[in-house]
Amino acid sequence: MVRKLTAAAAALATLTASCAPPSQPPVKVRALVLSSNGEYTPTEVELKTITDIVAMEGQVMKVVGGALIRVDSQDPEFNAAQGKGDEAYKRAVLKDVGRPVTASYITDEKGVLWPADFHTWNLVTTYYNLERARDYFINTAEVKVAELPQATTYYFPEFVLADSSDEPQVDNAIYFSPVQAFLVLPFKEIEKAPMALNASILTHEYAHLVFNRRVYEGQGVPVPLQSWSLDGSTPGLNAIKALDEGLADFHAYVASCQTSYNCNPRVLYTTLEGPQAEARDLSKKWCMGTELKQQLQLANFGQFTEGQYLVGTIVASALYESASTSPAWRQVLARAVVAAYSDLDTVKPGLAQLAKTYTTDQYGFTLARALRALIQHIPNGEDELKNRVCSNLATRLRFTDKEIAEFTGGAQSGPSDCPQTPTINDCSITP
Amino acid sequence: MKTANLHSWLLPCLLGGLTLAAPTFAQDEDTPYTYPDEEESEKKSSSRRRTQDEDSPYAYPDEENPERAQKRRRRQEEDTAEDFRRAAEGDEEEQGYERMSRLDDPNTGVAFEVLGGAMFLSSPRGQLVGDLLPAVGGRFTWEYGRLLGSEALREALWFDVRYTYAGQREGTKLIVGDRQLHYATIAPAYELTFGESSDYGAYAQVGGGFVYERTTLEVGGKLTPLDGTQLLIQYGVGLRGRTKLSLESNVRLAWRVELMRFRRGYQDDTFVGASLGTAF
Repeated sequence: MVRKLTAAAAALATLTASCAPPSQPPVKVRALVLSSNGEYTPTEVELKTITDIVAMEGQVMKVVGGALIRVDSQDPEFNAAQGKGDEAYKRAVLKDVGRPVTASYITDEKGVLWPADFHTWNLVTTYYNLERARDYFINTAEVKVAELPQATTYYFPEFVLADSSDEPQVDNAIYFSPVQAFLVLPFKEIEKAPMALNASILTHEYAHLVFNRRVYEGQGVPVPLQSWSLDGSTPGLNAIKALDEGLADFHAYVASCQTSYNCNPRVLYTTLEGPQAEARDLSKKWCMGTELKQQLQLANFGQFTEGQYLVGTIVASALYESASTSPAWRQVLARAVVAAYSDLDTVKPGLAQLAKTYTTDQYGFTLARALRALIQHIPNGEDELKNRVCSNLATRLRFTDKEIAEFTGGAQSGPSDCPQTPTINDCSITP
Repeated sequence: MKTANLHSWLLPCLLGGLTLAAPTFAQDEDTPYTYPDEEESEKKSSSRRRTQDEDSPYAYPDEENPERAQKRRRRQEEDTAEDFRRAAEGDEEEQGYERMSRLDDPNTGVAFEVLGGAMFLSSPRGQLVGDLLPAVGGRFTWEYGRLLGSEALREALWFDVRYTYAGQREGTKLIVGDRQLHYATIAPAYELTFGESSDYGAYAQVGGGFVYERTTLEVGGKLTPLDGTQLLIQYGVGLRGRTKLSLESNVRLAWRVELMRFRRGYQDDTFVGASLGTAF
């Protein structure tokens, strides 16, 4: 009798204690995907790179929950880490390293995993969106796989920027380079789709990772930014941050053209609505205003947070207008943008090289010079596209003659520069 | 006032009462003292006793044979002492205990309780002790150790049939995940009481069962329901009491405080709570 009871208990224990879902990629799972009618639908997808579907870990990312990240200039640990490298800085701000998450599933009769709770839906869709974004950069933008190692995603961390507020940040998704990780923050005011479900937002964030790896060589606190941030006015820092935001929006747009919803020029669509979402609509003809241009030149980066997005949207909307009519042009332009991030060729240096050149003089790092790098990386056979990009950027950014000279190379203009003098058209909408 | 009238009949009554009572107190030296509460039965039998020989046994109305009646009375006298004798002799210790325990504790050993507390659900957010949810339920307890006839196991072994519910609803206005978990378990327990025959003790419990999970995804008002069932293991520790409510009744107040874990597949849910109910 005792033996039978022991055997039964052992069998029950085996049945209940095992049963983890399969994690041999690809794993079939349901995710919340924006369908062609603009609604989020539970859609069967394959996660091709996942190795642990419970802890949500794979080649693309590993998820960490319950972390505490605090950036506080009054923190002695934070100050002691200054100048001691990225690892020291990361340790100083990461107050609680967090722990693995435990996703929960119900398996249907076909063996497809269904998330059993809201957060598992959010996690699975986050992984799917980032996997798609990584695919886009590898296949469309031609970024090498080796450049995109596994990233960490801190899920619902307590993220405090103590110098601005002691309250944890909410309602955002961030690529935070000091910890080299994505932060999917808790939501509070968002009533529509959470940030992590929005494929365009996560592609935008993944683009920041690519920008960091190429332009800043993967540095947590990039040297040019450290140097430039010490000045009162930070035009170089303002320009490079605006480019980071704008080019990320452009990548999000191009990547969206491969989804079932099709091309989405509104990055924040389905998550935010109203003026905040409208301001990031790339299909609108945004142009540089006088006041914004002054701020770009004179403001400190701390005062130019909103300006980064405004200027970035102008750049992205110019690229959108240039390439939106042709899938081939979109791909060419996406590749050119990524190629312009870093290029050791002294004739057509990339953004990384320009930033290094002007590390001690950020006034030299202008939008016009940085965007010339982009033009130079559009293949020479694509003259029509190049002309469109040249004219649209010059028009939208309202380049002055001096800026036109920097943008086109002036006397040093070569075969990879704008084929013709950019046509300056009327630009009516000013942010 | 009718005081004069009262006096007129009270005195004869008292005197009459004393006159009638006299034979009752006039007992033989060998006759045991009769307590007042036995008077009534004595009175009933007094008329019959007077008609019989003093040495002959009392003849019940339904018995015509006095010898048989005498044997029966002896047997009854033996029976009342038998439980005590057997227990004292110790040659049938367990059987003796069983009889004694039934005399000492007339309860049947069952309890019904409602329970409530905090369920720390296995966390998809990576929370240290899980996602906190309110949980409610109920349980039936049976002290099956009473069947085993062993003093050591009588109140030490029991099991629960338990139901627990926990629900979770999270999301934004547009997208909501609604989840309901129904736990059903049977779990034997071993209890160590705080001293001999104490109504309070600490226990450890291991059992099994299943969890029925129903989840519904709501997107813009469109519902996508799904459900599933999973086996689980339940284990934990707690404190248990069966407080007597009154000396005259077998009904007791059953209560517990417990820390219980449910392992379902690769996930662990932790319940911290208390229960209150009735034990018989």
